Amino acid sequence: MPTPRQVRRSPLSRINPFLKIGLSFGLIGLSLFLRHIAPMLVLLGGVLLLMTQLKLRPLILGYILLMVCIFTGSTALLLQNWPEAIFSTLRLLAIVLPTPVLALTTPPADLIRSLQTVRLPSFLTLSLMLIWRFFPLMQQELQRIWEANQLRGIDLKWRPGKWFSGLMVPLVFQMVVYADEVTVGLQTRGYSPTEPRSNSKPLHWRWADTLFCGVAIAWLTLICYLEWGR
Amino acid sequence: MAQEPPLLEVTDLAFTHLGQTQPTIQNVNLTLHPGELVVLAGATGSGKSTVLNCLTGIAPEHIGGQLSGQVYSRGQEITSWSIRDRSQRMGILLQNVETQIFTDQVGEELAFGLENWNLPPGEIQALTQSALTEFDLVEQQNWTIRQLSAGQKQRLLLACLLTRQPDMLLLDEPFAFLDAAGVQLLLGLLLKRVQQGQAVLLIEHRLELLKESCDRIYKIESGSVSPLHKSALQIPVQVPPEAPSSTSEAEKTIILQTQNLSWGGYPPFPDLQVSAGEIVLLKGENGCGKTTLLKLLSGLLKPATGQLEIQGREATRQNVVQRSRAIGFVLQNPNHQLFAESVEAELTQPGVAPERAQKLLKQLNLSHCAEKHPHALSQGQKRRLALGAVLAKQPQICLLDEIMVGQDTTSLELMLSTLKNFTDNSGTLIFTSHDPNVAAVLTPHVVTIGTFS
Amino acid sequence: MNSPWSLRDYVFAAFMTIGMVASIFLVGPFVPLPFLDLVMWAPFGGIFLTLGMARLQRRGSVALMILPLAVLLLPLSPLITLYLVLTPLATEAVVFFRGNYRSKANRLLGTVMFFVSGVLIGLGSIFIVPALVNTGEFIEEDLAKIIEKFAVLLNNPWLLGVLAVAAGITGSIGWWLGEKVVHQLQRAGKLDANA
Repeated sequence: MPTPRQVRRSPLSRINPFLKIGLSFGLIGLSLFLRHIAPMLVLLGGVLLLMTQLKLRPLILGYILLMVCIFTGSTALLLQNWPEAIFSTLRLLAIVLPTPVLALTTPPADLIRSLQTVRLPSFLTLSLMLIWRFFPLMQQELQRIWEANQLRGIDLKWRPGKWFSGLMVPLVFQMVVYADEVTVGLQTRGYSPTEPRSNSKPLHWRWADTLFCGVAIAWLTLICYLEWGR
Repeated sequence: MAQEPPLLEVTDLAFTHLGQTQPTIQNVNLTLHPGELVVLAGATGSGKSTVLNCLTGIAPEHIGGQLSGQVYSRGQEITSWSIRDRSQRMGILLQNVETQIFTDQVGEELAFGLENWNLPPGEIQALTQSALTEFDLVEQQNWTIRQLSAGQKQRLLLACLLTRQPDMLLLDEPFAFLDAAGVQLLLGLLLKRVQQGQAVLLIEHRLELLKESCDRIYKIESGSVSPLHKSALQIPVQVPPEAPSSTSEAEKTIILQTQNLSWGGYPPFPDLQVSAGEIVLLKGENGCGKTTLLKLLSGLLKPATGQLEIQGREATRQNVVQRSRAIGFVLQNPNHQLFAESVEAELTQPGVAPERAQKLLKQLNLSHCAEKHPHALSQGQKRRLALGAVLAKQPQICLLDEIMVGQDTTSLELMLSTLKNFTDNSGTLIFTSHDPNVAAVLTPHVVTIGTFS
Repeated sequence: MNSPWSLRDYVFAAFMTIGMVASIFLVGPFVPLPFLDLVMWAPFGGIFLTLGMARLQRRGSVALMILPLAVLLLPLSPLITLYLVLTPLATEAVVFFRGNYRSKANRLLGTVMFFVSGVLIGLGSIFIVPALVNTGEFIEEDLAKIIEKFAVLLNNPWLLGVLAVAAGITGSIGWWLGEKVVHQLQRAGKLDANA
């Protein structure tokens, strides 16, 4: 059995999600215009620093590193110019990394709550919540169906012809049954897409947000200064 | 004090499923008073789920059909109320708790239900905290849902349903997957609520669990409900167990043998030595690793240490597919194991003689629905079909994981006699079950799991 | 707000979305080329798309399944979001004139439209992005390198047609499989589709 433990949450997870989204859009926009190595390094360094707040599995980190190396290598081959290749790799990272890093430090419940406050149609927040909650469960179902096939002596890995009848059909049946039960479940918990809902953790501006704002502005200013100010 | 109207009163309720001519339930009359724990008991297919669905509003809102009769709550007619409206007065606990949990954290889950009723944030915080305290979940407040055991999830859900102090609780077989300790814990919580004046209506067929604690019992048989006197209660006793088969040569052929098997954080599993025709029951508290041991035997999991021999051959390195020739495994949830487009086709897999399939269908009382789609069957029929599909391939060893759950007496008897037949023909059976009746019939060799020896 | 959709519809749509995402994971690792994965995914994604249309039936069913996915992926990439908004809108725009998804033919049209427009919009964006880049002050060379990946396509516009046709065909396979599941679900009494 897995040993239960407290979920450790990074200080970043408490920051207003909108601030984080704003910052990541700012970083991506800025990275498109940078032409010097120093500001680029400052930008990326900061992003990597934020990345330390994520508990990434070594396997995933290794995969990211491998992809980066392949990209740098192939760009260098194409450009015949290593410094430029490395610079475009940095730019790629600066474009790709900020949003997921900041999104992953936001607990999904908070993200959904903040989407609710911007008056997104209720079906969208509901769907997001359901996808987030039941995707892992459906994956588990898929895994069990896969195993049930093996128990019958059928290894689906080598028999794609059986994927439809052996995997997809039972999965669909499970999903349809689940969908009906979940609808009832939602209603027993008092949910209705047309009724107003309250928010138990309204977004309040906190001192941590001010601090985050200050640091973010200082960081962005430093990058701009290094690029254009000298 | 003037006679208070009952918390729940049902008069002349009947429900006919869409496309059926005969009503599934009819002339249902029942009442539920404050401070009562009432049980609704009946076999699978007797209509007890339909009764619950009509009380909660699931039928006809989600299950097509014709409903007649009235449902009152505190004297007010609620027959036309939606599930959501009714949920203000009745806490409804469905069988699969996963479908009633929507966030990924314990504290969030409590808040979710209160947010749905548009309560102010301050009140939500206060109600959440008091619920956490009452249900002994303070320590788990920041846990993710995934870290909870099935019993804890159920407790969390009860806490959620009770935050708004509904008049009554309606529960659909809440004890199905709980061990003895879990049953006592849940029962304690329910009795406390009953003492506070709330009412509890339970669907359960294992009456021996509730005989002592319940106030009244309604029995449901082929669609009609009647009160049952507690003294009239008898625990069904099935076919008298035969004396353990005489020690023959069969006993000497060891068919499965394990040594020092271990996996994950579980204590090392006891060594097994099982011979052909033997019946072994794996016993132990919930979460002690019974299912894990079955998975290790079937090859679904690879052991961290230890050896496994099947039919005298080293099998530790064999994968599931290789082992599937000798071992059949009936999983807890039959829905994962049904693949064909008809009941008959489910049994007539490649290599299975049609006569054998027919014989099994007959034994398991499924012949009459041979043409039906497997997913159109009732849960009990599905379980029997999944068992049949495994036995059809004539494995030497059959593993069963809690497949007797929710089976009424008739269905259980069919299963047990089919299994007896299997072991009499020197098939080996290794199974898990919480039901003492099953052990009474199969007279297995009991192996206790989960104790540090 | 008066919505034609019930809670049941929303939940069902969300589960179909889950199915589509799950099947992306199933197919994803095996496909090396961009946009070919759409072609490979279509038989699987098409099953859930068809199923959703068969159950939800009304105009907007496809959007109901795909738009949440678009919002979900916003934190990962705004471009994917834009793509996922445009594709169902193109599909819905075409099926709008046919009324609903109640008939098999309309469901086939919906599925084919979805995957063909997916390829066209996706590939089209490859022409638009460099155009945007050239007008702006962007670093042309770098993006040119990224576009290099698609050079084969840029030099052979007929490939676009081939890919679109391929997506249409594999999408139809998805529809065909989807209808088979719909039939089974009806036999088991789990789906009240087809008026």
